[in-house]
Amino acid sequence: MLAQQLLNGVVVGSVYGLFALGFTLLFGVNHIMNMAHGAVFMWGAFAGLFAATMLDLPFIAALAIGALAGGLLSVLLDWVAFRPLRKRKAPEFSAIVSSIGANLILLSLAQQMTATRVMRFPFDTFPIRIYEVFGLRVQLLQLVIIGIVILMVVGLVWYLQRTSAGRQIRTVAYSESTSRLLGINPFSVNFQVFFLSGALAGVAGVLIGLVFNSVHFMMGEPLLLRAFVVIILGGLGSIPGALVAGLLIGIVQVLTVSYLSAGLADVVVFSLLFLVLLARPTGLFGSVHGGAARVARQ
Amino acid sequence: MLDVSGLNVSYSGIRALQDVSLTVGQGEIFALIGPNGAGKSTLLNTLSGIVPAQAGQATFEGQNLLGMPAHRIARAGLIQVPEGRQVIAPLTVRENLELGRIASSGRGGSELDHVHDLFPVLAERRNQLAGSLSGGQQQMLAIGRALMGAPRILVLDEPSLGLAPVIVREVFDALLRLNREGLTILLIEQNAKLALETARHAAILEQGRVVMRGVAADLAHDPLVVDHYLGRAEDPV
Repeated sequence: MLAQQLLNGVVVGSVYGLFALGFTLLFGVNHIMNMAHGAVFMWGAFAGLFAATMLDLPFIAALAIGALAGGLLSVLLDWVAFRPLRKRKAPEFSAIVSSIGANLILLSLAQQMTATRVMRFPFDTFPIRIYEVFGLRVQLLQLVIIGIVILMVVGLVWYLQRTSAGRQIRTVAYSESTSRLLGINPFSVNFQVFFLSGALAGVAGVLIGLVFNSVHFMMGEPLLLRAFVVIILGGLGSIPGALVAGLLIGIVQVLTVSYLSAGLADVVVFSLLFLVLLARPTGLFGSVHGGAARVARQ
Repeated sequence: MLDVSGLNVSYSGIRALQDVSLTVGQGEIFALIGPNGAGKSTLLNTLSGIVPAQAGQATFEGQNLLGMPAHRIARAGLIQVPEGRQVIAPLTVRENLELGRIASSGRGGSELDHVHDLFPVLAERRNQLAGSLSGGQQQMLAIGRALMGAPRILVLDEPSLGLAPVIVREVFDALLRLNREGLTILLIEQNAKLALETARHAAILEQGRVVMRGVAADLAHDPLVVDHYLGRAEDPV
């Protein structure tokens, strides 16, 4: 029973990690708290859902469309909500307010479009196959989700570490003004960072939509709140921090729901956050240097 | 090669540069000296596109620099080595140099060999993190990184700042060698003696205005300059 719940927690937690990764990437490179990240996640889930229902596309194509939709929506968000503020050198707080507004618009649009209904993926989107491993019931979907998360994280780290474009992103994270003196095009870096951040959210959206078999306009909101816990717990801007903390939150949440009560999940999650912050004020993987240097360093 | 005329820059309501004009000729070293806060760095950052100008003109090889985005200016070949080196500490020496290549926009070729020849220490430490280098080595890396962009004019902000005299000599010897090889250099220095020895032409900036300009060797013998900038016996070099 415990092992079964741990497995469920790891699956949910790894998707939380994916969601938080996009959030923390944007914070680490552009110093933006994107309060509309949950809406990007939700729209990614809807894009994947429509791909599966209306276009009758297979799972992997629905996932790709969810990623693409999330990525493009996030770039659009940058153009509409963040870039005009950057141009005027507005303080970081204005970006938070502006993204809260964008979030409301994106939520209302989805609510209107779906008439506040909860929608589901068709049954044949993903084959239901269950394996018995050491007494554990492991669904194929769970294995695939863990595989996809690993693939995306390895891909992201490889991109940041090993490619010239990734080094440019890390240079902007380290020092924006120096990056411009080196001839790095800030528009191209912003485009990549917003796209990656949104694509990670979009994939997370489709996966969460499948795991709970429910897609609705509010699905991103509790996740955004949890993403805050994840990145504060993991350390702002830290990629390994987002993953470890995401897993931890997922496991704690699933265990609380199954052994205590569903209503206590957030209480336990936030108590955990306060306890960790008492011991480590900068989070598990955090440093006093804050977010920017973290992305550059990894 | 680089023409600045009537440049006015102010930010946060403070006038940083007032009617600044100067001309840097092809193949020369031009030094801009003056006390702290005179506006020297502001001038460089205006030329590099980091700080906007309110009035005046700045042209580089016929292109109007004012209003051009910073990354395009670097790619056009006006490359700045910023004050305090600004190497990317979490990247290796080699990765820092590779970053410098972005500005070359295809102009470049064998810059890496040239940089390694100029500063052999950068070849020895190519896999070390830039943040682990000494101040002098970081300055060499910052210059090497700029050279990777195949600059048409190299612009340096206080390259001697915080370095031991023997390292300063090494850095300036490298600049002289680059200049002999044909590179145009615009240099900002607080160390006036060193700057006037190195440059062909120079200008003195005080409180945002050019108060003197001319042949560096002449300025070095001008009684006013000697009095204000060279008279101190404790000059390090």
